[in-house]
Amino acid sequence: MSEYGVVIPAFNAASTIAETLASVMAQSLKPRDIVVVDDGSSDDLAGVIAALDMPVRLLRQDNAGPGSATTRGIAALSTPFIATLDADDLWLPDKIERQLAHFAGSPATSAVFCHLRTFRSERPDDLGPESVPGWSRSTMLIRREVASAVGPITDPPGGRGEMIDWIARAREAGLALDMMDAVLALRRIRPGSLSYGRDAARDRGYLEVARFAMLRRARSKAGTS
Amino acid sequence: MRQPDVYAVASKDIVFESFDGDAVVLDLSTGKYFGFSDSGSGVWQALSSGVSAAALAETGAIASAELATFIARLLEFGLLAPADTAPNPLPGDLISQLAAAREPLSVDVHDDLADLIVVDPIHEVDEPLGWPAVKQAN
Repeated sequence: MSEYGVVIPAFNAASTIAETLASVMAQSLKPRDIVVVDDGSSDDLAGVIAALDMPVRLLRQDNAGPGSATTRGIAALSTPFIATLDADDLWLPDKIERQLAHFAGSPATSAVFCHLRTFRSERPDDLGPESVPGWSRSTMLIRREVASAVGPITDPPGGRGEMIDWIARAREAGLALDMMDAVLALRRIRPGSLSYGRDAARDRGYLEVARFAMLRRARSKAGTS
Repeated sequence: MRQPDVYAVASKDIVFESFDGDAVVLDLSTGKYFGFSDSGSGVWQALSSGVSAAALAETGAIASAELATFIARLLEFGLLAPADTAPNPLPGDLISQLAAAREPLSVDVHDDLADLIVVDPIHEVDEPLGWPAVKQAN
């Protein structure tokens, strides 16, 4: 059985969610279940989704961060495979089909990711030049049991980097995470955001994630000696 | 010619934070991160805030030779660079932190998250549009 469900954490994503969901509905293999977790949005996310007439379950929570919202959505799914997607990114139509085929040929694989390219909101056909390995939410497809083996996706206090932390924990647990060379997802860059400036939330989150990794290492060293 | 004695963080790619006195430094350009012993954390905090090496040596908490070796490593890792600025005073809480330190000066480099950090697709969105947004605190 290769039925899959989709989790889309969403915060004030009313302007992009329709396009994102359309890329899910356009998959060559249709999902069994789609869950959007509204992480305390103040925009009309719910209204936009209701107007789409798509088979989407909308869950709501107080703003707690994208990791928390993703964890909540995963818990709401019962499909053997789970895909995650940011509320402003897009999948290419054969994304899931190719990733499930990868799983079929690699029974020991726990999670599969793919390459991605960036696109700018106002110029959807103008893709960024580089294909990069997408160790990220929008590229990830996991076997359901992996979620409970690794545990919740934890938002670093005051920062981003929750997927880095979760993926690092999955690696440390010895799980096989595969990166497909194919570009199967597109990451949205907003107008005016191309200058890569300092981002305090990113920096703070990454530093927390690095600290967590060092604390885990110290703990496991203490536990084995 | 005088020895460079005051340092500054080498570039905007070097970000750092102190967690309960433990310094963590990250090089965003490589994804490598750095952890310190307790004395190393104190010395990093001092040097990165413009305290001179001489002022640290004067505390008596750290041997000069050990300090010179440690600073050489920080320069080699590209975390610090010599600065031409006037030194800042050594804050009192750092003096006591260094006096209380029990471990020798050390810094460790880690690259286990490097491939993840370098490509992490954080969406650089405007605050009202979506993440990254901290819960409206104000």
